[in-house]
Amino acid sequence: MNTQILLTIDIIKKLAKNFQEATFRYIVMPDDTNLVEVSPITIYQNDDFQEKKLDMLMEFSTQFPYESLIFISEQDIITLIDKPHYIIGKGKEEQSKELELMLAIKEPNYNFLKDYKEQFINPDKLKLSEKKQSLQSYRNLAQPQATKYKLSSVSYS
Amino acid sequence: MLKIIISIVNHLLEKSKENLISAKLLIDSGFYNSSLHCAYYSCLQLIKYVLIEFHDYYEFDFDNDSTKNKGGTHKYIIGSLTTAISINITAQKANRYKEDLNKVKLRREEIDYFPQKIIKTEDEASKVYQKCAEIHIELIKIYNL
Repeated sequence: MNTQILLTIDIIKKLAKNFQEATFRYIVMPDDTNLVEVSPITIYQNDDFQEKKLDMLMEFSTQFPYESLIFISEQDIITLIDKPHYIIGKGKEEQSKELELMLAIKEPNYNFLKDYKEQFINPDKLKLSEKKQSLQSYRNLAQPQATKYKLSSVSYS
Repeated sequence: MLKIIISIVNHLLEKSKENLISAKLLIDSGFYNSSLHCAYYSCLQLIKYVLIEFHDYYEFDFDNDSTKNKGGTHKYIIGSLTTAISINITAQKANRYKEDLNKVKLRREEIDYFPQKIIKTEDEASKVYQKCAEIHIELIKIYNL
């Protein structure tokens, strides 16, 4: 999971360098889909951008053939992103606390959001001992602002 | 055994066609959310058909407990198609279809699982249908279906 996020951020940075008038808003969806919203739409629709985007999709697909990276615009079929995990564009760059937490967990294939949902939204699914252990590891990472992260992630789910 | 496999594969193709036709009929009748569901599954069924019929995949490769699709069956099916058709069309085009399918997948999940998310207009439903129909046309061309 970690490497997927890092590659996506690397891809977004490359695009931001090439298209300096654009803003890129990135979120990791609960199913691990990497969703990137590009604005303004004029840049998204531009042929140069579309070509570069396909190159980037290929780069991602080569490393993660069964994972998904999606670029959307304001006129796309997907709902726009409310609370991005990462934003870059027009000289600004911001990263959310959720993304920092996701990147802090180094185990391969660890799905922060899935684990988070199981702990806080469907707690009955986990055995008590597993839940305690899992919650403790989350608390160790998230303190002292755990409550804040909980609220912001729940809003999507 | 062979007969059973052939029968499953043919069912997939028939179901896929039926779902695509249903998607169009549902748009015409104003049932946009159900239309998206049919359009998306028509693609998945067609892709499964193509992978089993032309690329040595088996039905059980797509089971939930298969070791091959740890990241989810749908992701596995979509990813497998991209690799498979990259031989016939440019990798760029294959990745564009992958992105389109993943968008429809995500929208389908929104519509099916989040009560507040709906398709409001015929235009939006038609866009989804168009993307799915394009994938059908491409696969029909590549595999001479």
